[in-house]
Amino acid sequence: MTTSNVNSLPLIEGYYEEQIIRCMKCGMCQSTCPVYYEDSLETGCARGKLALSEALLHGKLEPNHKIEMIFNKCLLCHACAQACPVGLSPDKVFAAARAEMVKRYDMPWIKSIIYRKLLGEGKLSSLTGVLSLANRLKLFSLARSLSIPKMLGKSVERLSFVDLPDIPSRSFMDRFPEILEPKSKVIGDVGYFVGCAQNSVFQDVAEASVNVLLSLGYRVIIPKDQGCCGFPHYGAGDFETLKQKIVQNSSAFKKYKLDAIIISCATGGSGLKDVYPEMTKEDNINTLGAKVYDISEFLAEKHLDDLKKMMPKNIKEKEKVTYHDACHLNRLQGVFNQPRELLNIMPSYEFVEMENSTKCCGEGGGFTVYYQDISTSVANRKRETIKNTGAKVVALGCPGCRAQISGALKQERLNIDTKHTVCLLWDEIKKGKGQ
Amino acid sequence: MLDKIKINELIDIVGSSNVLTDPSELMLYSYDATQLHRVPDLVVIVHSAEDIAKIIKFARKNNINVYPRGSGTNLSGGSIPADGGIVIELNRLNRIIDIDIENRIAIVEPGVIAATLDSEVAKKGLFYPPDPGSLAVATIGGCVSEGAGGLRALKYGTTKDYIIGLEVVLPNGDIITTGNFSSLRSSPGFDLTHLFVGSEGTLGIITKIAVKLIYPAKTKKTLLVLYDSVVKAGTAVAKIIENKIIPSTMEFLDKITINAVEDFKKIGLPRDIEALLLIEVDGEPEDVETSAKILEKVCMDVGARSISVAKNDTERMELMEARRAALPVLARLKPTTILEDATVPRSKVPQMLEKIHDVQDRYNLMIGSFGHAGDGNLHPTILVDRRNKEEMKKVDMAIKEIFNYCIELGGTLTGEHGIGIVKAPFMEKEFKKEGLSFFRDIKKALDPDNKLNPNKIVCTKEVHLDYI
Ligand SMILES: Cc1cc2nc3c(=O)[nH]c(=O)nc-3n(C[C@H](O)[C@H](O)[C@H](O)COP(=O)(O)OP(=O)(O)OC[C@H]3O[C@@H](n4cnc5c(N)ncnc54)[C@H](O)[C@@H]3O)c2cc1C
Ligand code: SF4
Ligand code: SF4
Ligand code: SF4
Repeated sequence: MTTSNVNSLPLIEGYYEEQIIRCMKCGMCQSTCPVYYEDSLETGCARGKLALSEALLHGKLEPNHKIEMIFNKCLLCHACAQACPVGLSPDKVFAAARAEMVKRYDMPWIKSIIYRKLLGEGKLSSLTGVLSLANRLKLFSLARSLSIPKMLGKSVERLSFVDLPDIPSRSFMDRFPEILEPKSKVIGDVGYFVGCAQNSVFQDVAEASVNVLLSLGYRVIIPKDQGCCGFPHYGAGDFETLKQKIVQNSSAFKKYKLDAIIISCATGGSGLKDVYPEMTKEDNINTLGAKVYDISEFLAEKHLDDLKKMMPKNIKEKEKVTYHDACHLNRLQGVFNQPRELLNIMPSYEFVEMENSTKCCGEGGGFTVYYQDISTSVANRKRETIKNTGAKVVALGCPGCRAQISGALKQERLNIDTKHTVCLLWDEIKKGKGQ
Repeated sequence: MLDKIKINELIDIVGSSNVLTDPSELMLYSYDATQLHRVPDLVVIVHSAEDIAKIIKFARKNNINVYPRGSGTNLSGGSIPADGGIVIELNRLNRIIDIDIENRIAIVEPGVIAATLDSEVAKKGLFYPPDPGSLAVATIGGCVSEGAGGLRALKYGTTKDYIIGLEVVLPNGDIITTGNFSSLRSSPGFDLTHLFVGSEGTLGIITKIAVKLIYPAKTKKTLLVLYDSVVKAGTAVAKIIENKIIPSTMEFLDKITINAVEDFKKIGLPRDIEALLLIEVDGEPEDVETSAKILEKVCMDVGARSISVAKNDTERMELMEARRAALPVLARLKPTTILEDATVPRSKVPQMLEKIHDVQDRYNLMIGSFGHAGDGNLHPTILVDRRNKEEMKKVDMAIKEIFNYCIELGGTLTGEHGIGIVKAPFMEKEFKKEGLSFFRDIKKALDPDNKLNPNKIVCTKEVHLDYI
């Protein structure tokens, strides 16, 4: 056996080597890992994948397709980090290990089309063009028909595509100007980070976010040259594109003098708040020019009282709403109470907790493609806990979870809506305005 | 080592998806929480006692070693396939077969996670006291095989005290039942149940477990006591017991650990204290009140610097935090954490700690100690960087000194973490030649070919284990 991998594994050296070597193999990470919960295999939990990284680092194993698949067997949900007594972030090691795998094998072609061509190239504003072209070319249905699982000999439907709305022909950024003035006196300038999913598929979230901010009196700036946050590339191990995205977004937002940057995509938020500082070794104020907030964090912390005043009055019938904690919002950004505070001020809703609200929904990007059975059974557990609340609406703050959960609900033909917290909030404000 | 034809025989027994052969997967069943490892030749995932019996017979016929494995969280190398062979993965045998409220007995399969049993019996108003720190991940089978203890052992005992019956696959492939599955009366003859409890998978593979349950205490009271000297803390422990009070928990933290807790958790402990005791009493409300009063007085009389008493559940959890954080905060100080398990008579705790401090100074090592002071079970935790070969040599010598002294004081090698492979070389010191030879005889009687978890507890061959 050689130790020659060490030189060619730069990303798992240094910081990553420390993470790997510090794992004391206590196994505590098994207790929270949603993947381990499903199949009780050591390949599922963080300890196993760290041991694998260690074996690669010390030349006891050579990288191969099997190992790549084990590294892919992770939702990057960060639950292991929360259980780890040593305070490790194993998910980051796996993302880096994937990067090594990407460099070595390049990416499977389908992933490479979706991530590199569609999300990687150019600006977000031109993206829907590409996407609708892609739509026409049936690229997405190609992805839908799942070449990869087929290659793996499986043919189950990817859950998060089941209930995906059709992609509108114009993107959010095409429809909205770069600078939006509030009707009332300006109380500050905020930048809005749109994110791919909300620029194309879930435009309702971007619209609601911008409208709520405008109602509060913010001038909202949506830099046209912003790009994807880069988190999908980070998760797929494409660090080169990630770096390009950081540079692009930095220049897009730094052009303006902003009081805050708001994002309503959980994944994008953890990209900006968690991944960027890790890559750049500096905080968001330096990289992007202002502090980054998730929309629910910003609204609940700074404007709860203002929003209360905007709520509709004399609501008689309340609908039950429950909340799913996206891993990327709860664990990676520590946003837990804020969305609940917002839900609790909405007169049209009665908030009920679901059991295990912080448990992953099983989306995890490429994970759904590679490990469809596990992904689906994680989602089915989520569906059951939602059903048990009797809620008619599930609020959440992440496009990935929304696709996955609405897919899971749809499969059982349940009449339960899946909505971003800020969309519910905007509906309430509109109701209040109409009164 | 295992050719295709033989592997196919195993596949016929458990199905192909339950036989792992890929080198990367085998790597993941090579270690336990000692971090040492040896890659097995094969991993077989089993779903029934019958599967196990067949595999054992197969292994015997083909002269292959077999190693049972739960969650692989033991701290003594017990589940490592140290001499090559097949790892039998037991965590799919994970049904809770019955919780009999009337007779207060639960019957479970070995792969049930300890925390799951805990919460399931709690739902029925009952209580299963053993609570190792690894509760959330360790299997019941692993706990029985290690005789696992925990924070409540002082008053409630360890796993050993709750096992009333077992189903075991013997090294010859026979499946037997020991003890009694339906009543607390023990069965006649040898106490076979307790031959297997704590046997670390060397005498048989446990496939069903009957545990006795009790009713939970009505109330709890928790005290945090700070001391300027280790001797005073040790004296307090002895005096408390002399006063006929048996706390459910009596935990100890030394200065290094206390400072590490402060570094990472900032809960406001003074950095200059030498020791702290975390004491919990439970039971009927009036008894708990009286005991707490006496405890406070005894602790003060011995010269405590201060005592905090939790007024409610939230405060109780806050006080507990100091103890819960002990291992995690120490583990953050250095890359490698070596957790030891020296146990001495309660009265000798101060002497043992003095020795540990002396060893630490002489070898220039960082050792934080905490543990179950009430039963003299200390966890000196050596903090090093395992990449530093020189330092690791010193660790070996330090551990030897600590163990030898521990036995001199009338103590034992391990309070709860088992002997496994890492402590097997010290067995003769504790049990003398005759004692050890009796261990060997028992092992030989049950497993004449030495195929079931060989080299654990009783060392038969020198094997070298390393980190990955
Ligand atoms: C952070 C941490 C804290 C800990 N705290 C404590 C503590 O407070 N108290 C304590 O006592 N221990 C503690 N431990 C040690 C360990 O968790 C326990 O020994 C636990 O009981 C092991 O369970 P397991 O399922 O991981 O067993 P494993 O490690 O898989 O196996 C343990 C031994 O039992 C054998 N075995 C497993 N299952 C069976 C079976 N069904 N039949 C026969 N043999 C079997 C194995 O071969 C091995 O020898 C701790 C460990 C860690 C990492
Ligand atoms: S990130 Fe989530 S899925 Fe991945 S190993 Fe950790 S807990 Fe498991
Ligand atoms: S909890 Fe942390 S230290 Fe323990 S095995 Fe998992 S990653 Fe390693
Ligand atoms: S994470 Fe959010 S911003 Fe980033 S690509 Fe996905 S949807 Fe877009």
